[in-house]
Amino acid sequence: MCLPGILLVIVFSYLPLPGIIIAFKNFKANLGLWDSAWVGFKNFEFLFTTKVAWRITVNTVFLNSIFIATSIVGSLGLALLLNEVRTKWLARFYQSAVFFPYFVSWVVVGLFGFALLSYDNGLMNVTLTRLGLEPIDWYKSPDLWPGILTLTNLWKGAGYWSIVYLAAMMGISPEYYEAAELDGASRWKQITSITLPLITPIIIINFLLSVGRIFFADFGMFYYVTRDSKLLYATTDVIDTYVFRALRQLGDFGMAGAAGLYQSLIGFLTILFANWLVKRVDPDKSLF
Amino acid sequence: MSRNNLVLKLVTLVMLASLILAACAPAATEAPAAEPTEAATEAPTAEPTMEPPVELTYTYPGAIPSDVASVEAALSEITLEKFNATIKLNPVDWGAYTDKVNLMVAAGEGCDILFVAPWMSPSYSQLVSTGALYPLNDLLAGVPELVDSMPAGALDATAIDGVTYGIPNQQIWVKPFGPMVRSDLAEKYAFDISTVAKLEDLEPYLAAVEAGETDVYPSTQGVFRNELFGWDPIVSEQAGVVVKYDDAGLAVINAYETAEFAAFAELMRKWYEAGYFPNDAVTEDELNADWKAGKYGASLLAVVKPGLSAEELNKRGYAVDAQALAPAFTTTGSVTATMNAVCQTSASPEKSLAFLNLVNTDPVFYNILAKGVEGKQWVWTDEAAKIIGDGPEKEAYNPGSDWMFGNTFNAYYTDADSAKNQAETAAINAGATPSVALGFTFNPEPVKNEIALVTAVVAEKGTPIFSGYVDPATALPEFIQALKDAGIDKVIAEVQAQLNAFAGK
Amino acid sequence: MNNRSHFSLYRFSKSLSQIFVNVILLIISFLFLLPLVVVIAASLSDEKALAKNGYSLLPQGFSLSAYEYLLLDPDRLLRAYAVTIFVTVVGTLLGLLVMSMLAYALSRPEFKWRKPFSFILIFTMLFSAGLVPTYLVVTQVLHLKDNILALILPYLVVPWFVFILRSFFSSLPQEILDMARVDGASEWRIFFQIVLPLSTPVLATVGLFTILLYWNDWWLSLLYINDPNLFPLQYLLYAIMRNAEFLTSNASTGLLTSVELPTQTLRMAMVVVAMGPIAIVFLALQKYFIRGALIGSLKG
Repeated sequence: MCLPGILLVIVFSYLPLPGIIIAFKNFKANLGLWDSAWVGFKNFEFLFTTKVAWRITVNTVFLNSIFIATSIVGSLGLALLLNEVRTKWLARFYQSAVFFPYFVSWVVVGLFGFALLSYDNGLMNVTLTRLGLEPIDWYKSPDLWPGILTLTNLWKGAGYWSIVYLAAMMGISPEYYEAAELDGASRWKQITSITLPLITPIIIINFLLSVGRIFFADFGMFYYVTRDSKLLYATTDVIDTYVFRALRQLGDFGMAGAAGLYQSLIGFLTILFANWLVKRVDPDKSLF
Repeated sequence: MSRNNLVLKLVTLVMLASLILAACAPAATEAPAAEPTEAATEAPTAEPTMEPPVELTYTYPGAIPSDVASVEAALSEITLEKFNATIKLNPVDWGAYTDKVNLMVAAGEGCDILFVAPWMSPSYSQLVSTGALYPLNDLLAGVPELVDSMPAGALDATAIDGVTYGIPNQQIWVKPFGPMVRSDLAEKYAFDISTVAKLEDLEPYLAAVEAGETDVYPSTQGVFRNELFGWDPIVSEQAGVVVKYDDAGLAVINAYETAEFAAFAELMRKWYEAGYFPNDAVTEDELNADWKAGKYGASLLAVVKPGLSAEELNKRGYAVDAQALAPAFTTTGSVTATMNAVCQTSASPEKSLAFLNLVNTDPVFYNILAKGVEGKQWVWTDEAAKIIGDGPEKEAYNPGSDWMFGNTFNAYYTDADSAKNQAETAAINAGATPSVALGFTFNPEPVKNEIALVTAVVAEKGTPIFSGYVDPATALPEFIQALKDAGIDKVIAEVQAQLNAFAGK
Repeated sequence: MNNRSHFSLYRFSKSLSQIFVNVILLIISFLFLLPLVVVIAASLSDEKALAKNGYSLLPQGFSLSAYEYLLLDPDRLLRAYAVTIFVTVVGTLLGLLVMSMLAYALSRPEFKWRKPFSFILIFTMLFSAGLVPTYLVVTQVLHLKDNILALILPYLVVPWFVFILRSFFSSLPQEILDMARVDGASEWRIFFQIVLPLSTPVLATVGLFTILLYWNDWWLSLLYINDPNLFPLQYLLYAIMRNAEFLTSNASTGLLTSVELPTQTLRMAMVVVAMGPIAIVFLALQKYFIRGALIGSLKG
């Protein structure tokens, strides 16, 4: 029964895997993958022999952690709220509304953000001046951006992920709720003692899988929403954007492969660790 | 199916798959089969050759036009007759170009003729160093018209380690950067741009626009161009490793460490603080949209070529006055700015070169490629003077990139003025001084990592300085230090060594 | 009497909480929808007015030119729609089948290879050989270049979705399955006649996510498709957008002023055009994640 699935995975994800050695080679197209010169760890150097290395790593991990936390809380909260609405057409309206941002590409989000945050006539500054306050130079103030990006990430993804949680909530037998109501439990108590515990498995799955990707940033968001504004790099430059900039001139596949391998490896170790933690608490809920 | 059965099947499958993969690993060259394609037109080929025609694929960046077939047919008609080949056009969208070309090269397939340039990614020198391009030296003997059509030294300029891989497209080979102001505003504030001898002279105009206009920025954001200072950018436009074009001593320097750059940075900062530049960086297409809406009064460093004003009026709605400030010199970068090359894995390098011969020497052929098919995309308005007008299906094929395809001096004129412009351009090219480093192409291999780091540093710390966002008093020393930490001195040393070797022989 | 007043108090607090919930959601919806309104307004605006005044809630200088431009070449657009719809429908149906089979197998505790296969899946999520090797496998081993299958196959198994499905299947009450097994039903029958019908919410969810994955994809076509007849919708739109972006980032100055750049309004129009059909699909599938629709059937 699992044969077709596993087959596809093998073909598309495992067959190409030996190619991962491209990270250790000085890839030259005319020599092909196997004959290109082996250079050991040289391709990784540009990632590590720089002061920037620390900054991009910290930014990536720190920001992703915030994103994971806020995303889970946000989409869960949304799902809970949506689950409470009694009027069906209202529920459909709300859900469509929060789902829509998922469709908007980061490029357009960036444009919209610019309309909001532009110094000269962005909506925010116009409002600030009208209130008698100093306009803020948004694209040159790095400290504001972890917050801005968190909100943006939430806006884009909360609706999408809330659907998973809603579907899980749908699977909870209403008998539980009816029994609780008869016992006089308040709605809030019902949520905390029935809904949440029963959908914990899916929350954990999402959490673990997100953690595995903690070293990968969403390039689109970091590049287009910040408009690649140089003065924001201190807090918004992540591994993906850095590699993109550095390699744009060179177009070196070996170095690009090295960066990807680095991200994968750390993500892998992280997920191993997180999974082990979960196993200690409740073996049933772990990934593997 | 039992468990054991399943496992056995899986294991065999995996082993089988690995074998296949090993067998199919890209060989050094994998010439695509020469397929006989549908003959381009119904015209019976009078060719007595028995072999099927070779299909040559020309890959270049650009939006994919709706009617490629007619152009291919028209081109193939000529090539079938001349050297028994048909042409397939393979335009690739700009954004996808890097990935697609890299993959094409890595897989060794489907490539005969390719547009190359130093500023593309992958760049000309990258492609050469990965062995993706076919060396043309020996084949050039077979196309004397092509060789003759090139000005002296042009073909040599493209050579890397003595081997030519690309055919330059002739067009403006100088980069005459200079400020460009809107004619209507210049007239309003009685500003004569011909009085501008250096950037600072633009200030009265900027101040006037700032004071007099409400919704107009005096200028687009500050940018940095090597050529303005007479520097030949050896490594790349951003890296800042340059040679002064007329420096016989061939001294390679760090552009960002010079006094001229410091002065430039101060000027940009001054103008930014005075409010002459927009506060936030804008992307190129936003800039275009804003310019069309009349938001800017000037562009700081435009390419001041003949016919600029007419083109600006046509494309963006405002006539402009411009003044070139950069000295007129040709560099390897500018001569090789737009080239076509033959792929290593081409089905027929000789025929590919024959194709390139046509685009560079045969006006009829070139104009089909550049402008489209006569009667469909364009019609004659004055055949004797070679002026054309729009045809009924102009939009079906309108690449607008003459410089990509071949010798632009063979292009038909769109109006009487463009004839004059072409003549002027040719004169500029002829009158320009060749840079002392003309003909030298740098091999980045030994300092790949440093270049990556330097590029990142320039992108991050340099750009705010170019636009005046930060105070150079503190930012410039930091920038220079960051460059040093990134290894720019190592790059400079390497370039110097290679340049000396090049000049020494 | 006590009961009655207790009951009405309870009802009051229920409607209070309802009001509370609705107000919050209303505010959230408003905030989330704001950009959509701006996007639509911008797509209907005149380019110059937009550049001059920036974005706003209402169209400025009402103009349909962006949409006209998009529809200039309706053949290409229609073909792209056809390709996308085909790929999405086939891909989603097939993908759902394959993934749910895999997830079901993984969810059965007695399946011996459960842990190793789960691990295999996770591993692929994290480690990828990258662009070149994958490209080589697809084009040279499988010979799928310019083949519509290249747009479908790679996404048939998405590990993340498989795990969501697995999690759901695990939480199904075991008794039902055991009873069926005792009755002599085969695994396949159980799967198709019991498990799947019980899992409609999660199937709809993963189905929707998969639809979105296929619908929005332009990456696969960038890599594997050169034939313009096989370009899906998003790739067409992406190509138009990326042309402009590339031209902003390249280092060669001055050369490219002759190339026409698309406008801001065009970008906005493209968002609307790309989003339209999906919005309809979403509305259709919505009933699976809105309360009240299917709870009854679960009890049966």
